Amino acid sequence: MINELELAQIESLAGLTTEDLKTLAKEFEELHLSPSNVLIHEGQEASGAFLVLEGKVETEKMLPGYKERLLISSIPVGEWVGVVSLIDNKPATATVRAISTSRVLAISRQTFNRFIQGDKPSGIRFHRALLRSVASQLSRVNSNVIGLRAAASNS
Amino acid sequence: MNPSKQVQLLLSNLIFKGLTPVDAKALFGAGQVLSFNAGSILFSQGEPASSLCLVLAGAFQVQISSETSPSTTLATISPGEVVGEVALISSGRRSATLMAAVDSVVWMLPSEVFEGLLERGDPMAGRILHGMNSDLCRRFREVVYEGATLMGKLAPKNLDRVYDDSMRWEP
Repeated sequence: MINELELAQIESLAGLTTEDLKTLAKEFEELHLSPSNVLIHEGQEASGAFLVLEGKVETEKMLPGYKERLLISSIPVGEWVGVVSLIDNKPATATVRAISTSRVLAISRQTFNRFIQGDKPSGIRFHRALLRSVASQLSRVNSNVIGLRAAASNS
Repeated sequence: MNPSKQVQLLLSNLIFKGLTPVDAKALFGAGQVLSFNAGSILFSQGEPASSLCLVLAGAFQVQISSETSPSTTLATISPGEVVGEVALISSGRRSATLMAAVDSVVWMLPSEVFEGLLERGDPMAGRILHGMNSDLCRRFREVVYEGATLMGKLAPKNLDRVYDDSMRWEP
């Protein structure tokens, strides 16, 4: 089982106290994935959120307007996937697949909802850490899209 | 506009909808009401983000510039709308410039006020985060869809697996 010392090294969990991390360590499940194991299927609600600890994990997004054309992107170690679907309860926008033997942390939908409902300070701080991860990914995709718009208008 | 109408405007925004009227009034008091003349800048693209702003009166233009294109106006922000809310959850930089289109008034909540709520474990902080969920997720989905559509158009047509490690398509 992961402990709070290892969790404290993860940047996307910054802002949580040692006590918060101790509580979270009990809630997380550690998964060991083999190549081609799928964590999330595009178009289905994510069963939870996942944090990549080690290995190579990719997202595969169906390109709009195509049947079998995929956009592939790798998920950096230390980042979350599945958070958006977990928060808005809508289908995931991409499939998440292990490419190599990988180690990830998982928090299930039920645990996540229990943890962030109510007014527990540890839940509030964890909720913020996850929203921060969504915001930073939003900002990164946003700036790429601005570049793509310019490229599309010049092509 | 009298203060109780301003608090009503705060409560009408999705982010603050979950607050009780008493909490909303207290939070409003912890921020500042500021006036901007037409043409003046509320904040600039690239500067550190350290506050959330609610437009109380007037209007602001959202302008973005990039290396490849000069400043373009993307949207207009009207009374009751919030900008810069990401400053409450991460210490990033402003992604756009906000310029007053006419004489305008905003309520500004410094992110350190929100930090204080979090540190004290004030339930108000949790309610504000819940209020941010749906808008942040909607914006994320929209931009991912637009990006994937553009990649589909721009990538060579003979590729059925387009690799792009500079972009993330997180579910």
